[in-house]
Amino acid sequence: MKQYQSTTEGAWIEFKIVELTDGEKATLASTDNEAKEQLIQSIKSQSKVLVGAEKLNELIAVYNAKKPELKESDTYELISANIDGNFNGIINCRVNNKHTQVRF
Amino acid sequence: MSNKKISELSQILGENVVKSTDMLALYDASAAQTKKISVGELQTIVALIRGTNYILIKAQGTDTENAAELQAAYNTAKTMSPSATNRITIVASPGKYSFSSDFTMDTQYIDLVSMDGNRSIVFNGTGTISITANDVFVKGVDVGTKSFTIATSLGLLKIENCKGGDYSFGFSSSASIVVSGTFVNCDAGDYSFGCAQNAFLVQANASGVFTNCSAGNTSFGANNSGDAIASGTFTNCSAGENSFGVDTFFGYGSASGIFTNCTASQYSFGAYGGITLGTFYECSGGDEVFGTAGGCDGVFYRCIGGNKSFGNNNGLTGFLLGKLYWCKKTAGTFQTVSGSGQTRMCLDGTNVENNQG
Repeated sequence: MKQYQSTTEGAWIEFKIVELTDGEKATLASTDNEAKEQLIQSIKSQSKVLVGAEKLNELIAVYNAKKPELKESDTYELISANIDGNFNGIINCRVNNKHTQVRF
Repeated sequence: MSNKKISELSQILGENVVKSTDMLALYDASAAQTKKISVGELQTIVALIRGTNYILIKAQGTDTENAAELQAAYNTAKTMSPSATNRITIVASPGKYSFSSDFTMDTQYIDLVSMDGNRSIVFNGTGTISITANDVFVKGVDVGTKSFTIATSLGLLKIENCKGGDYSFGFSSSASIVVSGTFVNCDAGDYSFGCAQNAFLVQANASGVFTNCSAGNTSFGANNSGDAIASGTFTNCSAGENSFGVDTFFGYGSASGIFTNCTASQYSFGAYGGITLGTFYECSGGDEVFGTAGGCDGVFYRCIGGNKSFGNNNGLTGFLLGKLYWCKKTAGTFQTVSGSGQTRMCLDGTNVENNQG
């Protein structure tokens, strides 16, 4: 199942599973630290990608519907929101500096 | 003929009755047809003590017979129209239940609880418990050193006073595992409560509610090659090393939940280049905890870490971005704060007070 995360309002990333070749697996297991580090950085860049526009709108809509209702004077800080492909998930945030969680 | 119990059918029918194959004809008035049932099946059904919403397991037989009785009860419960407004509870007497294959709870609204509330439903066979249905309550099951198995993303699952071995309460070696249920007084071995191992770049997320739970190493949102997220509510929980939002390979760990009075060994709470984002009350760990080599963000009250903790480097890179109040390091000094980071009335390893930001 797809997994999405946001730690900044309006920006979402999707966790991608990167398929490795046997050669890449061997590199990760090797003692060639330079090659290994290069590969890790490459994997990192492929494994977390910005969500496309259509999905982004869906995620933002779900997030906005689920985040705590705020009064005008409330302060709000998003810590992290994790949502899966079925739009179940959890929002960790601070409302008036109090840590609040919303599960859905 | 004097009255006889149905359970005494075999006596009535003689010694030659074969319970598994000899059939009795029953007339189903509602369907206007005759059906057949084996003597053995009839005796099993009659043996079940049941009410409108419960079935009692007497567990008077051998360990294997007790397991068969529990399985029969579960099968019967499925026929009792379980629903959100019609939960069926199987109440199991204290005893040993020997399953040769896993006892699978695959139907919502059927609960399993021990009669005395203790961990007295003891699985001592080769089979363990496997929960795949979402809205299920289980209390008092002890599977020993076997894995107490649950499927991913069971947000309505509630497990209380249960025990498993390694790889319990949410483990995967092939896909993402999200542990989003509620767990109270549960104990497990290593690689438990939301752990992925050897499944490259899948996610392990402990987003549920965990109260008075304990585990071994690499637990509560732990991974060895992918995202490890401890985003839930953790109260009075303890674990070994590499636990609470730790990815030991990429540094993809994050501890973004609420942690109260939780303890772990070294390399925990967003270590290995991970990040702490959540709120921590009176938590403690060994060396290299709380965002070591990554980012120590979030808010900490009266927390204790060992050397190289709280994003401190002492040879490792890391940032102290969070707010630390009355925190203590048992060794080493505090990292210089970055951004909006603050320390107030904290003590370093030599009991020198630290106030920054």
